[in-house]
Amino acid sequence: MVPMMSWSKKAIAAGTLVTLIIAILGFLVIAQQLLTFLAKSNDSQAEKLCHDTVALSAATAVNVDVAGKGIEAKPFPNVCKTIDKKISGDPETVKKQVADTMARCWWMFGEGKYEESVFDTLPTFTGSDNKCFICYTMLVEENSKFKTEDRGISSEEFVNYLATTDYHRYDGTYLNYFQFAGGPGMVRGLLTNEGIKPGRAYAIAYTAKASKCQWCEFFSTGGLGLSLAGGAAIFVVGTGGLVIPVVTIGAAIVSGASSIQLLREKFLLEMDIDSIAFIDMSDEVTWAAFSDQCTLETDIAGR
Amino acid sequence: MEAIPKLALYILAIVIFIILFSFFFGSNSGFNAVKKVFSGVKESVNVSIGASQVKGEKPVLPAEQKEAINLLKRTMEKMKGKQQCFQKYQTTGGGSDQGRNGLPRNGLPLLGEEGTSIILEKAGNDLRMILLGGVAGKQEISRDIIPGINPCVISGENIPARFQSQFIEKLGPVSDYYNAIDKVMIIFDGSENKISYNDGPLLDFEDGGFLYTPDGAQVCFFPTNDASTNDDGLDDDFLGNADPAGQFSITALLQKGELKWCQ
Repeated sequence: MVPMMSWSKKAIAAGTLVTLIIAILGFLVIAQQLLTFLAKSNDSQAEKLCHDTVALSAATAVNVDVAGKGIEAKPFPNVCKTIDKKISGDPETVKKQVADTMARCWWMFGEGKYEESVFDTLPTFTGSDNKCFICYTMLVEENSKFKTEDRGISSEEFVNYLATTDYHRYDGTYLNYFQFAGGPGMVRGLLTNEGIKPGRAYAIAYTAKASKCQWCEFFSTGGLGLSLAGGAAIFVVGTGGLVIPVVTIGAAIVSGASSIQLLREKFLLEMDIDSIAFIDMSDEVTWAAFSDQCTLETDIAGR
Repeated sequence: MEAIPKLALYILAIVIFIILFSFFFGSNSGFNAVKKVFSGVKESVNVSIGASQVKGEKPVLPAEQKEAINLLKRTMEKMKGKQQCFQKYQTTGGGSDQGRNGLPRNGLPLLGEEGTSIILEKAGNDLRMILLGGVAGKQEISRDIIPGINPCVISGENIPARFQSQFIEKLGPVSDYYNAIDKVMIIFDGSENKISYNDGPLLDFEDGGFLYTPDGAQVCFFPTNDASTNDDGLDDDFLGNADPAGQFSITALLQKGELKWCQ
């Protein structure tokens, strides 16, 4: 017969072990449910969660200055997801919806006010690739006031809209909001000659400061050697909607430094401030260039 | 007999407690020593919590450039409605990179590395002037409309040659001596101000601060070429690199009344 004391100790140990296992399993189940809930949360909840976790990550960042070298580590991750949106309306309404969505993305990631990239959680001693997060994928739907066969909103027109229209959540224009409301920032974009129009899909991405804009270099070197149907416009707010034609196979590059090359180098290859990118996803070459050359951060749903 | 092991256990526990207590809480205890070590570490390692932040600022033009660009804008406005005449936008004593006899090669001060860029684009019947600058020269400072004017250049296939033939060599009137365009860009290429139009190549811009209007509705800029007039532009010896004694400099021709100022 087993002594009573020994039997009690074994029972207690087994019970403790079972309790521990149940607690761990319970935690895993709850965490999974929580992530599923977050992935399915509505848009404004997702925006707020992303904004708040970015802010929390920054607020809890540990800065260590050792012998003059600054190192920053962020223990908390950003909890952000890509939000799918459909927009429609007349061209003015579409412009406003796109601009508001870009502003929301800018807000979610801290308005460019953090000195280090919001995507770097651990110190990167050798520098970081340019990282971006797609805040929104946006489909422009056709309606009676704006049809697929209508002329699209050109990059010049959209840039002018950002520069001259006040943003209702800020005391100034959309462009002023991006450029200096928080930290320094800028707007970049990649549209085809179709512009913004129904039947096309667009992405809005927050791009953090880095050493090089790889997707822009993609175009400066001719990329895959394919020409875009109808050409492409890389616009940077402030260039008046500069159209930089994609170099096609066999096309001669103008001799000497062109304004295109100089501006490309100035505005596109050197990403030393945070920016909002607006990209036409409907063109597979431009989308491939952006998604392949810009290190995309995955969202909490794993996209 | 059973009490002895129990007693030994209690005594052992008390002894361990006393040792731990003295280690941690005595005057020269290990705890105080650890505290001193970490205090020393803390003094030599600067630790803070919270990500460093940068503050955005409204981009502004340097004063010298602001004055020059404002003068460029006012000059273009004054040329509205005038016919086949010249005007100078360069500030007195200003201009970039002195040419011969101290006259400026270009009407603007050097815009600078990661500095200011100027874009003039056609907006219907008007001209939109966009100024870039700010952080790394990548932000928009302002955009203004100059009503009733479109941009043009004295550049393009055979155009500078025709302009030279009519206005400098006085060989009689010609057609197509200016080029109506959609966009002009003035940027710094690392060593000097350059000009390009319609997203084309960068061209020399030793214009001496001159503008020309053929019809009062278009204002032409002067890209130049160093050696002689070619499709890029006029010979800079007529403009920003002019010899004041030279009979063919725009300055001399204006002074002699052979070319017309926009009054």
